[in-house]
Formats: sequence, C-alpha cells, structure tokens
Amino acid sequence: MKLSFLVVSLFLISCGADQSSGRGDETQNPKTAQNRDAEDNALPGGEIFDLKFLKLDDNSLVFEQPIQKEALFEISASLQIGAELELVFFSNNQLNGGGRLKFTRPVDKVLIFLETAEGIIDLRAESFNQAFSEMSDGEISVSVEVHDEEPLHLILWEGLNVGVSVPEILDTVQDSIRLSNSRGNFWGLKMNEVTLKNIKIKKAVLSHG
Amino acid sequence: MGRKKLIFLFLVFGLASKHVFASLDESGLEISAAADIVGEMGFQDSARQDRFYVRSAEVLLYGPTDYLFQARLSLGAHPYQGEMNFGLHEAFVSSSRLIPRTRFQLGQFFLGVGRLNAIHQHDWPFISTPIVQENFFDGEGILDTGVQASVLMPTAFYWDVTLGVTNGWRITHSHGDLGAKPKIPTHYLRMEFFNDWESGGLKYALNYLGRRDAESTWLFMSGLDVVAKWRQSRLLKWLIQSEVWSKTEKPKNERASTEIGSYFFIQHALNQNYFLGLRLDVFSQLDLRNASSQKLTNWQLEASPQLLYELSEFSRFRVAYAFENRFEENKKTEYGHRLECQIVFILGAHPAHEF
Repeated sequence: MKLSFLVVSLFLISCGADQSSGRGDETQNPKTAQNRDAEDNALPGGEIFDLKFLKLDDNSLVFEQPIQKEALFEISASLQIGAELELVFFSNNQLNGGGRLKFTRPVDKVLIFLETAEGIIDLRAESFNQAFSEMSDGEISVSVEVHDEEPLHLILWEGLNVGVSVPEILDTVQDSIRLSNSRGNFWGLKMNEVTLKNIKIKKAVLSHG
Repeated sequence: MGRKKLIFLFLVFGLASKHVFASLDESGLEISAAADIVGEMGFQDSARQDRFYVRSAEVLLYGPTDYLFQARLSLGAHPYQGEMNFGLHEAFVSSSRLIPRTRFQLGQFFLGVGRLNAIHQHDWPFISTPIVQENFFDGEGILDTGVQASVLMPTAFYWDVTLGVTNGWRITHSHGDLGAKPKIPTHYLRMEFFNDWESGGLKYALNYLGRRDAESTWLFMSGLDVVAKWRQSRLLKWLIQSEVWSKTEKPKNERASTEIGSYFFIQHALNQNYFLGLRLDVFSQLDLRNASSQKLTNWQLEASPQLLYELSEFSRFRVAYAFENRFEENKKTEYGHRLECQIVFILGAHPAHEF
C-alpha cells in the first residue's frame, strides 16, 4: 500500500508542476510570448571575438551561448561623443528583463548607469564615483561578474584580468543595491556609436562555495 | 556589522556564563557551539579558494521555555568576500504537546524539506556542497520565517506529514537583502516514511515546495530523499544517503525552465574511527537553449571519494578529492579536480538528529 501511495503522490506532484509550469504556454499567442523560436523568424547572425551572436536589430545583439549560473564579462570599448553601450544579462533571448549596466558619453566623461529594482541609478552620482576613473577619452575597460541569485548579483571592476584579490568598485550585495530577478539565460549588448575592442566571457572569480 | 558582532559576543559570553549561573542548568537550557573549517586546493580551476578558512561558526541555544513549549536560537557566521558575516539562523518556538501526534514550530528556521536542507552544514556527512544543493538550496539551505507542522499519521506504518508556509520574500540564503513580497508565499509538503530493521533503518520522503515571487515567476520543486543505515552495536557500519530534485521556474510570459540534480553518497566503517565514503553528483539544465532556441544538452558530473576520522560526534576530520566535469552537447567543456579537507568541532550539548 505504501508503494502505491508513493507512486500516486509522485504522479500528483509532477502533474501539479506541469500544469502550471507553462509547458502549455508554448502554444499561446506568440504576441504575448517574449521568446521567439528559430523556426518562426530566423535572425541574422555573426561572430565577434569568437562569440557567435544573433542580431536583434541594428543596435542590439544577443549572444548564442547562454550563461548558466554565473559568468565574468570583460569588455573593452571606445565610446564616441553621444555613444551608448549597454550590457544586458540573464534576460530572455530578446534581451528583455534581467540586469542592465549602461555606459553613455553625452560629453567628455563616460557616465555609468545601473538598472535596479527601484529604478536606474547613476553610479557616478553615488559614493562609488571616486573609485571610477574619468574615462574622459571615451575608453572603457571593465570586468563585470554576474550571478543568477535572487535578486541578481553584480560585481564590477575597472580593468581586466581581475582575481579574488583585486578589490571591486561595486558589489550590489555589499552595497545594498537591489537588482531585478533573472528572466532567462541570455546576454547581449546594445550599442550606438561604439567601437567594441574586445569582449570575453569567462568563469566567475567569486564563486560561492 | 558592529551590532551583529555585539550580539554574537553576547551569546559567547552567555556560553561562558553557564558555569557561573547554576540556575541555567536547572532551566534545561542547552548551549552548543560548532565550527566548520575547510581547506581547498584546486587544480585546473582558478576560482577555488586555495586556502583554509572557517566556512561557518555557530552558537546554538535550545531548551524548554515552559512545560508546553521549546525554543531554539542559533546565530551563525559565514565568510563573504574575506569578511565574516554574522547573522541569525534560527529563532523559533516549538511544541509537541498541544495537539496529539503533532509537532509545530513558529519562527525562523531551515525549511523542513529534503535531508540536507533541514540539517546544519557542519553535520553533513561530506565536505563540499552537492551541486544540486548549491543550485536549488543556495548552499547550506533555505531559511525563512513562518510556521511548520508535522503530523504523525494514525496508520500502522510510519508516515509523517509536514506542511509549512513561510514568508517567501527570499528563497535563498540572505545576504542582507530583505527580498520582495511574493504573490504566493513559500509553501511546502513533506511525506516521510520509515522502515526499521534489527541493525538500522530506512527513511525516505517525498518533498514539494512552491512559490510565486513578486515578479510573478512560479517556482516548483519536487524531490525524493533517502537515508539508509546499518549499525553494528553503536558503530554506523554502512550509510547510504541520496536526494533527487527537480526545479521548474516559469517567469511571466516566458517559457518554463527545468533543472534536475541528484547526489548519491555511500559510506563504510573501516573500524571504530575510520570511515571511507564516496559521493556522486549529477546536474543538468533540461531546457537550456541557445539564442536560436536550439536545445543544448548539458551535464555536470562530480565524484568525491573521502576518508573520515571521527573520535566522537564532537570532532571530525575529513579529507576528500573531487573530480568534476561539465559536458555540453556531449563535449567536455570544463574539467577540474580539487583536494579538500575539513575539521568540525562541537562544544557543549548537541541536539540529536532523528535518524
């Protein structure tokens, strides 16, 4: 009797999860579903610095390879006056949702914005300003580590090839900044008037053990 | 941080003061302290600690408040980015005397699902956190505030049903973030069965946990945990422990994604003090897709043989070697191995585990 009960219970639990898991949502109106299937609408793609991407529009690209729990991005770029470069992570494959870190250069200095659960914060206006260099030549070189936690967790360094002993400029957990939750496994860039010099995805250096 | 250190120091003082204030013994108050010190040396994996560190330190107070209720208070410290973070782990009141065959607890506690989630990390039978535990239970375990009730069913066989509802503002171990009010709070169910035999027993349980967070993302977890023990007098001759879990998350207007994971651990006593063990881990994200929506098969596998030296339940020394592999589309994408060692000590009283 115990075995029968166990089997029935397992069946009930898995059925309950399936009904609400949204597997039926794959047949819902595609206008409400944010994820597009390759069969519906093939996007142009390419490769940049050995990373394959799909082009969502003239300024946005999503990288083919998803990120799983955590990753470290190294980004080097030149921003013209009026340029914008946005890193999107743990979003869906249309770069909706997830976390967003934006660099803009309205005049000389590069400004840095972080989208939080409560709105967008200007990292130059906060207490971190003294830790960032001026970047007045429009050259940025940063390392951004992201963790799929609840909420998302971001650590930011200025410079590349960082390790556990290199102090970070920003840690959203330690600095009590609340990001949103993950919306998917994808990451990408939105760029305008930007010359991308290098982009890499590496293993996170601050894994939680 | 300063206030938290003060609370921790106060409790340590309380521990020391037990010998001065004799009335504490008469009240039934028990005090316990434990520390879990680990060392890791990673090869082919630069993200490893490569050092010794105190993974956790804990002070636990428990005992009866009166003839009806019991209470537990535990403070813990964990390292984060090179600093020890002190925090409240458990603070709850419980009773098994109000309603027949029923135990309930109110307050903050590790949720009563799974095997490892309900046990403090220093009491785990291995050093490192299983992959499934790390991914689904954020390491040590899901801690929350709410109510939990366990009922021993009136059947001829052992059947214990646990139901719990907690705030659900956070589902993972807090790093100082309050979280956000969920649409549907965390709720869970556990059905536990037990068969005993002359020299040991088998405990197995079905688990379910659900929640809908502030962003309307559904979370469903279901799992099976099994513990089997064979004893020779007081010696634990054989231990088998395993958990299998599935986790499904469905953000609003997005596809659901499902992950599965499991660990299997077996341990054999060589003699009264030395025990040989082996743990196998497997983990996969079933719905992992690339940006073109092509499914990507992926697996994480880990094997960790270990040796335990245990003089008593109050001090343990372990050494293990872990081999980890990641595969994607049947190609090995990552490979690493590491040496681990652990020292666990417990001072004072230590609450007994049920099985």
